[in-house]
Amino acid sequence: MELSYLIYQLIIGLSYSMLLFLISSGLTIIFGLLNIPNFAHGTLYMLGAYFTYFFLHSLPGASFVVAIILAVIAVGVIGAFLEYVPLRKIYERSHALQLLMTFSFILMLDDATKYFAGTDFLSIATPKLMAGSFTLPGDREMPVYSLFIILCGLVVAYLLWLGLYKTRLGKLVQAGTANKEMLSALGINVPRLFTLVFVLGAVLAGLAGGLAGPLKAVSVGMGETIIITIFAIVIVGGVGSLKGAFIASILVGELNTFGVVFFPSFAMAFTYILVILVLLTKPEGLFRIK
Amino acid sequence: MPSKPQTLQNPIIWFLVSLVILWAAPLFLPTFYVYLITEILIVSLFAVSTNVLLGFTGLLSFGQVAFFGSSAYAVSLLIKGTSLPFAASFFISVGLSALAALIIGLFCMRLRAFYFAILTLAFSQIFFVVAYKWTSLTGGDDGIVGIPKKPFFLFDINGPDAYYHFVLLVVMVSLALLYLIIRSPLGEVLQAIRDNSERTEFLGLQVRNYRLASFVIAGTFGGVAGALFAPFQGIVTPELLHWSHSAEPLMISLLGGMYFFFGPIAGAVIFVFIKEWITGFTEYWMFWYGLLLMLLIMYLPGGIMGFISEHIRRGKDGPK
Repeated sequence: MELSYLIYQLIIGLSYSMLLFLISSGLTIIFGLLNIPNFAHGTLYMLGAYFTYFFLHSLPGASFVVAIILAVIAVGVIGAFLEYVPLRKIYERSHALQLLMTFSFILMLDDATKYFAGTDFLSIATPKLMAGSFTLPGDREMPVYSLFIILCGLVVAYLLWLGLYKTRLGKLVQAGTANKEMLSALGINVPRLFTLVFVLGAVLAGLAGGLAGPLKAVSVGMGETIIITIFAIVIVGGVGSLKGAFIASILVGELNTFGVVFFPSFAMAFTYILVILVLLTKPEGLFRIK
Repeated sequence: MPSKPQTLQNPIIWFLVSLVILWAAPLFLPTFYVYLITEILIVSLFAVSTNVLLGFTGLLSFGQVAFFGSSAYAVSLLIKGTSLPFAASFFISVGLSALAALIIGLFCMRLRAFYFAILTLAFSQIFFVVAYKWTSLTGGDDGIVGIPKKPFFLFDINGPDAYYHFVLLVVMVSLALLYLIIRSPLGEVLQAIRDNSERTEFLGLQVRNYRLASFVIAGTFGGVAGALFAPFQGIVTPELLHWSHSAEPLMISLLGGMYFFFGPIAGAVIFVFIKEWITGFTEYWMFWYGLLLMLLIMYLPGGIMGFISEHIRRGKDGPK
């Protein structure tokens, strides 16, 4: 196997990693602060892809960027509803009930998507500006779009880092993740903070869905397929840890990409084996926050 | 203690009466309903076994489908690939489920809540990947088709009514065993662990071992349900082992009432009928089912049995 092929796979793996980071960063912050393991987070990612497709095809002359922005807003609104109406009722309940409630979101959102969009796989064309590719040494064609996704991931990572560590809101999120009682004792409007964080997570998942559109077939099952990988990342990275989610996303993304290259028949199992190994050896994750 | 025989009598009478009525059901029900009740029975057993963990031990396993599905696969492979009698295939498959539950359980016992759920889920997904990828053994994506209903010992169980009677007997015996387990000292300890595991530990009981026992019991009877399911459907596919199907018995327990032994059975009856009823006019039944569950968790977390028993209690106490 030549070096240029490995470099090519590394970059492809990195673009996949950045998609994973967009989804898992939101989930890890939600889980850390709200203590809700949201099974439907992958479904919000799926909705992002479908909404992008919908706006791209129903608005005359809508560009890819406009469609993604509208899709992200739509997913954010749905996220706000889910947090504000059903989830707010069960914050004090067990993880069991919370997991099952978010699972009921999957049932509803999946079927609603099937109702409006059908069950056929849809594909989103790569935007013209980024449709090209350039040649790596060794005559490998590197799609520009993959680099664009990596750029998006890095920008979002930087913005999240700024938001979490340099703003008052971010400090509140950090404080709440460490000790929830303290927040309300300080007179913070905790429910509003929860809604805000949940919507932020939904928006990031929706963005990932829109960006993934041109790379993958858009289908109803894509949420259930990715959510376990996302949970794996959140666990490996340590619940609530942004840095952990970033590093774990790269780890899992590359592991999956190279897994497919070297062990095509076992690649499907890699994520699960990783989850099992981490949970059995270091269940608090590699970058513990609390 | 004169009161004890009476409390024991009741469940036995109930057990026999429902057995007789259900046994006679094919005499006055069309075949379609016989199929439906067969499905309800199998789903009930799977849900009750899962609820031993969820409702009576306080453990959320998202991997129960591993035991149901692997047993369904094992029984299908043994039926189609060997000349073993069906009874042998059946018991071997159930035994394998128990063994799998013991091994996986040993690993999972150190974790709680969400982490336990995800670890069991990850283990069960390994089963899914094996069923999906080991094409030469499992048929891969296509699964195993044309699984016949071979005689069980000397009994011919081919045909919808005969197979229904077979399922009925196995499920009723299994439910009776599970009921006895839950009412036994072991069951009492499990419920004590559910309510307060630390205090139970302080009493000198090995919480870990009891939880493991509960996990093996749930896996074993999940395996019984799976071994009944494969010949009933005549086909097994990897889809059967996908993690999202582990949610089904959990949802059913929740629907019926997870703190009641009979809760999951009530849940299974409602689940199968709702599915049948809604699919009559829309293929999007999952939406309505999801909505029902969401409202249930929001407003009636005790499930239907919880709701009913609450009202009976209130009625007894008189209006306040």
